[in-house]
Amino acid sequence: MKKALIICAGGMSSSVIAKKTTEYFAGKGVEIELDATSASQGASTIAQDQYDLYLVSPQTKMYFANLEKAAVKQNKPIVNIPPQAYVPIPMGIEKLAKVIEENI
Amino acid sequence: MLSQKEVSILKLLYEKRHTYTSSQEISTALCVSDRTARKYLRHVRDAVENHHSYIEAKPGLGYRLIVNEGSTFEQFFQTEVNGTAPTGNIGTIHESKDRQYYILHRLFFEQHHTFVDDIATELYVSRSTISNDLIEIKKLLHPYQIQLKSKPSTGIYLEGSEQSFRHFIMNYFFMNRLVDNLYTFSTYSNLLGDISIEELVIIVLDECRETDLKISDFIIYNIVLHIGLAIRRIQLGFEIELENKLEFPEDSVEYQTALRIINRIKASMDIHFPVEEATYIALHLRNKTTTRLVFQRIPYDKNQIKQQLLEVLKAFDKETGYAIAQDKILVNGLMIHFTPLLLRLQNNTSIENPLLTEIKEKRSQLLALTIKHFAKMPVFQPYDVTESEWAYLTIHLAAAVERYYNGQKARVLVICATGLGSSQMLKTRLEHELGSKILIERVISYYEISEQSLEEIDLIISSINLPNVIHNIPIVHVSVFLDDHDIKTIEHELSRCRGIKQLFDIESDLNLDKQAKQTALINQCFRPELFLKVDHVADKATVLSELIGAIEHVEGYPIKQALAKQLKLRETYSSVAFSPYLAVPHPIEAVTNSAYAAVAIAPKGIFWDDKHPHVQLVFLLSPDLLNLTELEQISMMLVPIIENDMIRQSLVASTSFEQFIERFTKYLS
Repeated sequence: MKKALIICAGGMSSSVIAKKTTEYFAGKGVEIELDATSASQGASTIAQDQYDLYLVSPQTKMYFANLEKAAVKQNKPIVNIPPQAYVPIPMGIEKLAKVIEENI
Repeated sequence: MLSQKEVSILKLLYEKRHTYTSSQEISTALCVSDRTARKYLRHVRDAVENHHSYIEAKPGLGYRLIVNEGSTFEQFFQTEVNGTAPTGNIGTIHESKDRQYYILHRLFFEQHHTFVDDIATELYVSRSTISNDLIEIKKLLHPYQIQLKSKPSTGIYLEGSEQSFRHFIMNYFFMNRLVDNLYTFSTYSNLLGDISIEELVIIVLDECRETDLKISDFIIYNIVLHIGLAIRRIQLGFEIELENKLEFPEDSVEYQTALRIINRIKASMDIHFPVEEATYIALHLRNKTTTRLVFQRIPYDKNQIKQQLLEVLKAFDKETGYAIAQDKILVNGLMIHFTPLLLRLQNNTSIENPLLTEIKEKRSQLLALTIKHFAKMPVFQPYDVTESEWAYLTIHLAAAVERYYNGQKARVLVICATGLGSSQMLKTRLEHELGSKILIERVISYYEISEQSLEEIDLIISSINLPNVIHNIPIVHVSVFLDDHDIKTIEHELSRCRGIKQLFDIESDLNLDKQAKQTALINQCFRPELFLKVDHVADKATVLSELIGAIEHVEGYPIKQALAKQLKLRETYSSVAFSPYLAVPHPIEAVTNSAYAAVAIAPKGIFWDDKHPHVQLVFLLSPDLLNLTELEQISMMLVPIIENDMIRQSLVASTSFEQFIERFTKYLS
């Protein structure tokens, strides 16, 4: 089981997206789980090194540079989520899943 | 729940969480082998990980518990360590379902009239708790046209036809439990072959109701088991050998009922019982009176024997790692079995056990364990108990062990286009491939899907494409041929739902708590002032501006501009339309002092954007600046609206704030 973490602002949309994407993977038999956390806790969470991939939401991409430093330290990939992959509709989830599978 | 041993490990690691504990230390503390200790440790580790903490393993040093701050570990630890009180007495009936069973049992089998206050006192709960249980009971009774009525002078009682009473008893007390209880006997030995257990239950139930004998469900189980074994004995050519004939008054109700049961079995199954069998059945029927008689001759009372039994079962659990001491069906079943057993022992009679050879062959270990542990019970000390008699206890234990494993298996509902033909093939394939991991509850057709059919189901396996009408239960689509890919998908889903199940088991006590928290959160964030019903075709800007205005009014500060700007900014990154009908605008950064959920309902639709021209529900979520309120929990509650269109329709059709909240709360997962 691999784990990915969405880093976003307040968790209003990411919590839903994380849940739906995890369900999507489960339905496909892919062993990946998603969690979500807020940008303020992003760096400290990365430092604990419990995830295989970090995803930065479109509205927090200004923090990307900082978060990237933390991720590089743990030698873990980190990517920006494209806006069209950040909606909990089936098409958005599918796109996000693709991004995750390509980077994890 | 973790087992006693696993809780011990958890406690040990928690106490020594600042240093490492070697596996030798753990195995010594638990009095088990190294290997066994590691087995328990694995379970503990999985459970701990469910609470976002973990057990670190360092070669040469041992194990260390790492508790992450802000995790649910503390809560979990408290429940595990303090929540493992021995079960089995009234004091521990705290689950609503257990209480319902208790009340229904009282009404159907013990007293026809009973007072709510009495029940509340007996169960150590408030009157209002019982009132809530009664509402649930009414729902259970409703389909059977049975009414729960109440009179100040006599208390609560049931009203309905005898036919419907029997129907309900059959379904509630037996059918749902048969799988757990009686079937284990028959599946494990093909004991009853072509004889239907249901038919035996119906015969016994009918005859007891006819003569108004107040027989509890457990006694009926035992009689059915007894009759089943008797049939087997006759088929195998055994005869009851009675050295000292047992006496039973032939003009008694019990004896007459027993005779009628025998005659009905003779008529419908063509099995001819010797007349002595009636004595035995009558003894079962008169269990209460017989029990008194039997207990007069021994130096222990019922509670002391139960205590002895529980101690034996705990020792048994300790040796085997099962958790059957908590199995109420087992404990009650054995207690009832002890009465005729002690009577036989006191009279120096013994019945042959037709299954003895089979048990010796297939369950020799369990039989040895039975003798080893049960022979220690003080109540059996004066007697010379035969292997045949011990083997009866082994049957009870085997069933309990089976139940223990079934409890571990995921309950699966199989859905096919018709529920016939190809579905049977799928069922066989599933049992063949995954029999050790799943328990197929039912195979049904698409049209049979109902709330009831989904109860206690962990996983749905379907050969047809199901629309997203079933929320909360994972669905796996497979081909009827069940290829390797299908199996892999199911296994993956199983590992997930096992995790969830463990979590639920642990949190079952906290569930009510969780619901209460969710309700509190809803009450805090939603307000009638922040509820907007738009009856005309409206545009997005107007609706948003009205919602923002309402929030500013409640907040008491000018936040209109800041909030509007944040909402707009958020939408430049990605869409906040979560479905064709639902939009959830929210700021990137909080602007209000309190958290709000402002709602607009627009049955005629709002033009949100080109891709979402007909949004009907808008949830504007505005988190608080200090981020003290978990508004994202509200966001998660919206998932069912996305997944189940019925919910969307129902919410959109709400006519008032109160109705909306009522419906929203109802659909909470």
